[in-house]
Amino acid sequence: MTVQTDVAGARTPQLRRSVKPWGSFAWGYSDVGADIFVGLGLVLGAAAGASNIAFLFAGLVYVCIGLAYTELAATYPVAGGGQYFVLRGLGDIFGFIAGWAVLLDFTIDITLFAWSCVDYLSQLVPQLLTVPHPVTHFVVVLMLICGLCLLNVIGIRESTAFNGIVSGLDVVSETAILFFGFFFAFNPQLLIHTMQTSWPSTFQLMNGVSLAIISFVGLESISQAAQETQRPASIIPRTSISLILTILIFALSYSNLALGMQPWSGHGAPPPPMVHGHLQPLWAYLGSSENNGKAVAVLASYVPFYGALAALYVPLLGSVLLLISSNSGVFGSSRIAYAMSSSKLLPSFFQRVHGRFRTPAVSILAFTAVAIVELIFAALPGLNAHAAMIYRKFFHGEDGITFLGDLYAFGAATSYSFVFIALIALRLFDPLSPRKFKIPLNIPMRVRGERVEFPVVAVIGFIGIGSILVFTMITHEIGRVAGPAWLICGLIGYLIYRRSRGLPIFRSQPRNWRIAQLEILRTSGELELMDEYVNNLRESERRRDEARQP
Amino acid sequence: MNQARFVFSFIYVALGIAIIVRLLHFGLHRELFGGVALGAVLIAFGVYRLAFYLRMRAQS
Repeated sequence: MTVQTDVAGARTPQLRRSVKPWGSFAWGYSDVGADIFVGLGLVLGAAAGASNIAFLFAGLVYVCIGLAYTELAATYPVAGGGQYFVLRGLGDIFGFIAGWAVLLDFTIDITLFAWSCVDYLSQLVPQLLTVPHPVTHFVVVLMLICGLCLLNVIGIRESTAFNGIVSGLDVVSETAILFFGFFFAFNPQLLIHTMQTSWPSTFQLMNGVSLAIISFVGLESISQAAQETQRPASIIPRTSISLILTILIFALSYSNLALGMQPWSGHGAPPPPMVHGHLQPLWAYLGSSENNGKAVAVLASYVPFYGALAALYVPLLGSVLLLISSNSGVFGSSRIAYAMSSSKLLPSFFQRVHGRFRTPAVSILAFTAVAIVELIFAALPGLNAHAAMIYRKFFHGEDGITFLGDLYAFGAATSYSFVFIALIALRLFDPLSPRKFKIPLNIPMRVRGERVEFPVVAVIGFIGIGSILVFTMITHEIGRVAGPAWLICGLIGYLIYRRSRGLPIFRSQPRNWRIAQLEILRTSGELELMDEYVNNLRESERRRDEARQP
Repeated sequence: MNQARFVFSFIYVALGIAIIVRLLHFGLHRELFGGVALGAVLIAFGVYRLAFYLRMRAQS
């Protein structure tokens, strides 16, 4: 942290801009890159022979989301992420809804990734397996979450260098799996056969697509790191596009490999894929409830030759990456809550910092508590037979990880939908802010006398993510109840808080976004863009004066 | 570091081409569309990175 003097002369702490291109990539990768470790098994279990199509559809929507985030994070490099863009584009109440949905995602992030981290470790330590040892699994996940909470309260976080090393190792590892898998075990005929014989029903496909989107969640990290990135307007587009394509490649690779790979059966190969004594196709084995939490590690072990090595380190590497991602949930939720509290969308106690450690301890504790409640709901069917019966009766017997996946998909689809609308609104009503990166495919038009460009990709992305939100509501028994319930509870709290403080409830507080934008560009070191913005403002004023004159 | 990135980008392009050629060798089946899309994304990413690497080299 550095200390800078603000407008009033007070010295306020600011985040130091020390993140370079690889660091920016690593921050994003350590969050989004972990998603495929969770998503692969869930999607294979739901979409069966159409899993690669589910990933492709969700991947195309994700490209649109990624481009939207890239443009917005490069234009407004502040740590609020999606919540800030929506607040700025659509106003306070929508900013709150988007931020609250992101908060749901971050709390799920904590639980889901800690859960999966233990699942991956169970590949090496069988005592941690969920099915025969649900209590041990639950206790270890709980301890991990509490440990991360404690580390965040103390203020210890993994460094950019550590993220960089883990991300680099994972990119090399996944590329090696891809290389060996496609060259030595991939059989296009098997892919065709699997897709023809195991094509899912429309309901299952919709379920698969809605789960596939969770493999692409975490772009908030890029915006979160934007406030610490050097020259963000130049660096973010570069690293973001690499990140989007890398993640898309791995998701498509794993899904195609799972459907069309002949499991390795040579010397040193793992036991053949069997469930309850029956030989299974690889995709069905990976999607079964025994393996869906550690699908990437199991798949890697069946890659010819390289699998023997991969079986040893992929569970470990995966669990480290998942733990980083879980930690980013603790960190991200507290920072988003802090930012929302600063914008008067949440009560001021979320801004309270620990006297000794100077961290937002109240936010950290509050959202870790929410994550623990989610963990209890997810673990209940495994821990208690009566609870399992209730889940079977009302929620089609969803298991813990699917319960978390449901809510994760709901939160992501909701917040991303608002980000697309915010992008359109900001393009129309804030055309003067310089955009170093612009999504392609735009329609030029005039709004309030200014020349603007309407983003077609945002509309395509909104339709895509909107359909995923609809799929989530149709197919997810828990997601369609718990997700909207989370939003409604939040909105009631928001209304009570705003009313008690005498703040406008449905309207926004007056804010000077022009001064805010100048400050953002100044603190980010984008002085050329700041000059460009000042010139744009002057030009706009001149045009208005000319228009006013008779 | 830049050499490693260059090699990686090259591997991605080669892998993308190899996947597409191998899939198309089995004829035009709609089931192979996902695999062809993967090959195309691999090539696009590799070319994007290679172009960036060459641009940086030309500048320095």
